[in-house]
Amino acid sequence: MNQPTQASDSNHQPPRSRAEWITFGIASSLLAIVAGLVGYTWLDERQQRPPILSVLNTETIRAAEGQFYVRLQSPIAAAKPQNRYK
Amino acid sequence: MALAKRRSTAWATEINDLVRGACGGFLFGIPLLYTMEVWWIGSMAQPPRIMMAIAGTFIAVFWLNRTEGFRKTSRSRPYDALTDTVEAMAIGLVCSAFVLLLLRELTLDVPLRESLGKVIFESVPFTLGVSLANQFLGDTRDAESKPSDNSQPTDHKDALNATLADIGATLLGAIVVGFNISPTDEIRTLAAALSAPWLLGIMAASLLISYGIVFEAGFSDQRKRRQQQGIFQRPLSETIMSYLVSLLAAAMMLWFFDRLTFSDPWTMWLEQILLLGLPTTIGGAAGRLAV
Repeated sequence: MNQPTQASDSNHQPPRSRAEWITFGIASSLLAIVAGLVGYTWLDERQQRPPILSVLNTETIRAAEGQFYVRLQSPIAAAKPQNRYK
Repeated sequence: MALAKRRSTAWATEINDLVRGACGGFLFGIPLLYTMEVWWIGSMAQPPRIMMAIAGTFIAVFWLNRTEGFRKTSRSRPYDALTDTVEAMAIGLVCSAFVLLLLRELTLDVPLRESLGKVIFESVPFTLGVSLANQFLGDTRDAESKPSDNSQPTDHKDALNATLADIGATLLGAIVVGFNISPTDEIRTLAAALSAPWLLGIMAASLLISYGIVFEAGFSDQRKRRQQQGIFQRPLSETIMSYLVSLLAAAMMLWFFDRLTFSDPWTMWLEQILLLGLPTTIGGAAGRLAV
């Protein structure tokens, strides 16, 4: 009865073992956490802001050996040196 | 003593079921993990849409679990399909998050909503793969007790033929999966974000998943594979050999699609080959089981 692997007969439904219950407990809590986090981002307006995707072109474009080199900075990376001048 | 043995058997069965589910997920979900559009869709998705993805996956996987599933034990009760669905979704979420972490698509800098979107959208094919695990390449539920006729000792020529057949099957599987990914820009994009420790992590994951699919997941022919005679036929040596063959297939495809040229630095070759090596190794493992 406690041999789960011998349960190919459809009339004989073995009970779940403790191992199966423990993994089910872990799996359901994981799923609940993920669903809870999605619900949190849904309700929390700050999470709804679009990401900052603008870039700053701070240096001139240079060409070398047929390749163009463009140095781009994101506003987050550029914020630190700017603060230093304030 | 008997109780302790029964408990350890229950745990061994459970772990085997979970490994089979995860391997099914990797077989089905890996091509989509190398698709940047899915990362973007996940990044941009609003929470209601993410919730819809969770609910839709749950319903689809529930119906799949009513007929198939990832467990050796077949149970027909709706309640069991429900619990298996929860577990399949958890396996899908953990495995897709693990690969996204390895590929550096999921870092501490990524905002929570984006991370959730990426993991949940990538977990959809993974979870479907988990619930289809028994369907992939058959299963060994009824074949466990059957005696195998492959246990006779074979001569050296047969061993060589078996090894060549394995190499061919690995190459075939690796090329089938790799052809979907190697011409795309994802390999270059991912290579730009990877450092040496992450490449080592990808190598370890490739070997582990390949070993799991062929020797632990209980897909069809696993018994045959363990008994097959050949030069590299021990599980560990076969796993390493097939990994090297899959890397070779990855290199050939990257060169074939002009993603890499001989004038490129060797580090670029190494990074891109190891990155493409993960899906090609999974394809190679499936190829060895199928042929």
